[in-house]
Amino acid sequence: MRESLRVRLVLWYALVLTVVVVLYGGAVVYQSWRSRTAGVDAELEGYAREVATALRPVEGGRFDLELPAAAASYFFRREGVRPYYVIWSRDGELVDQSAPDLTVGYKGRSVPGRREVSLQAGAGATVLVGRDITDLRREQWVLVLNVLLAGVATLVASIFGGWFVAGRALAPIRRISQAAEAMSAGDLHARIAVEHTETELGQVASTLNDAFDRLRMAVDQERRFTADVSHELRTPISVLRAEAEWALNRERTPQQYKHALAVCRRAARRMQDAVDHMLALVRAEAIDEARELLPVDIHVVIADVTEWLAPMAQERGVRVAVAGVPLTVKGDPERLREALTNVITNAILYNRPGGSVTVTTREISGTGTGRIEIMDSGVGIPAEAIPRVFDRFFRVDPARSRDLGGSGLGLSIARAIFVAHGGEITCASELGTGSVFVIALPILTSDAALCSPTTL
Amino acid sequence: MRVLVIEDEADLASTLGRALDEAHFAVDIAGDGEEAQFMLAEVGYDAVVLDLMVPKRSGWTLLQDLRRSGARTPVLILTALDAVEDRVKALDLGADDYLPKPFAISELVARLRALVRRSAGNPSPFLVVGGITIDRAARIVYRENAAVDLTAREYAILELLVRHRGTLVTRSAICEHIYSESSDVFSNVVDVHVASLRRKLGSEVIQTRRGQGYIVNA
Repeated sequence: MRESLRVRLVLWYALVLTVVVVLYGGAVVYQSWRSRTAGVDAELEGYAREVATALRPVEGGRFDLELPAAAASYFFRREGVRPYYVIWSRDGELVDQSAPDLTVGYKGRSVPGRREVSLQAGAGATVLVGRDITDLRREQWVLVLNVLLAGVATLVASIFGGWFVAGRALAPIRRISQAAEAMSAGDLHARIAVEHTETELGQVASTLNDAFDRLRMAVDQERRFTADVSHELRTPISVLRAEAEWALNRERTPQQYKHALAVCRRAARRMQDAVDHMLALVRAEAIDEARELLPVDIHVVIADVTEWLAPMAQERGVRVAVAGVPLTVKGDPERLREALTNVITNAILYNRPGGSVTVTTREISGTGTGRIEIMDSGVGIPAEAIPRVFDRFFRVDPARSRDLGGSGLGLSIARAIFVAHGGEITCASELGTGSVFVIALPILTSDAALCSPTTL
Repeated sequence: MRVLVIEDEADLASTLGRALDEAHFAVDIAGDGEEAQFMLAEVGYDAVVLDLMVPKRSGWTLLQDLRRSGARTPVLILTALDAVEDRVKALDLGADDYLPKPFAISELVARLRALVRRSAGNPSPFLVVGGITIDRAARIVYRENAAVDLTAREYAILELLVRHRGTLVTRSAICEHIYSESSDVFSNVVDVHVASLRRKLGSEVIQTRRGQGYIVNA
């Protein structure tokens, strides 16, 4: 493919160059012929004028001709091309000619191999001066040959040069295609060596490298997700299988069967939770265009969520307060409820007895962005874990999370939903003091009137 | 044979405990890394079943520390991590076997038995000493080609002594290998079992070193 591109490039190049060389050579040859013949014509015209001046009409329609010496030597020189003249009377009768064996058409210039000029002299006579131009034509042919040779030489040289240059210019394409092939063959770490980023191909290469990077990241993420999913499912499956095998290994007492079934049920529940959360995550990440986006009053959603979570908060002795301005965003109320539920649930679960959760909404003026801050007085998150809290299946403390029934997906789901709404969620935390999750969402309208804080 | 199972998933740990107990292992269970480390330091286990992702101290660290301390206890990794890199890493850190979850209990038991046999330098399921043959796969003892009826404890003591034949095995070592942490025994129980073994197999097989323990001569 690359070779044919190279051939095509060179062929086009050669074609254009041929046209240029032909036009240029033609112009040179034509111009040279024009100037040579013009010189001959001027010379002939000069002598014709001399002849015409020297021609004197005498009695009876006859003429007397006395050529000046220079003109005479021009017409009657001994060697070389011998020019000639012919004089006709008004009636077309031949008056005189410089050589006896001349065949000339009357006033004509059509004799091949010759150049002739005629003009009117006194008393209606016509003077024609001509000469053979075979030498001129020969010189012209030599010129044509030279131009042709030079043209061909130029063409050959430039085709070779063009081939070389095209090869050099296209060499990066081979590297690019090699890298792309390696990539498609499964080597996700294949990259194109980029030497000159300022060239067009260099830019193509770095663009492709960026695309490769994103592809690799996507594949890595997918791989990690698959590994995580398999781990999440493997543990309950192991429990289920081992317990069932143990129970079936021999005859058991009803008590033992009961116990075994209870263990199996727990494992099945855990699997169900894991699958539910994973599906929720996949749903949240999929850009669902079929669903209609509605104006959603965030305060109503937050009130719903906090009301729904109130029993859990009470059980743990955690106070939940809501404050701030009303915000309206365009979105899917169900999804937003799910996302906020996950974040607020976390704030309640990872809290201390007698602690608090404060949900504050505010508008960042002039940016069309609304912020929801969820601040807790909980255990906090170690600094090194903060960048990972939104990662799928990441748990700050796996043992504690399991005790609380966490799947490690809640915040991932929340983030996916906020991102799908054109927003984002970030986290800041201090160990032992608490964490604050900040959600930024594009808003439709807002009312500056401050809501009175409500406590649940 | 005494086995330590390190598994944080309580349901799975309990199932493993029951299943291994029925396969005549004396089983201790550790729910996290710190507990496991403490128990490993206290007891000379015949084998360890290790989950790599346990809280407080990861299985990787436990394995590394165990091998650094020079312990030769066979370690079987039982984990939900099934990537080739994880297997390679675990084996290179000194694990003896690797079984990804989910698994068949029968396979786990068979692998554990094989590990214990190999660690005693004899991969064959048959142990032969004097006129006595022990089939460790079927857990049957033959005396002059006739099966001898032994209790589970008697079998375990005989197997332990024969496995370490030529070396003295103390009463407390026998207790340690035969009984799990949860059982409450006195070492004179061992004497009772040994007396019964001598009755069934003949008095010359097991020698008593007074005040020290027992030995089966090679």
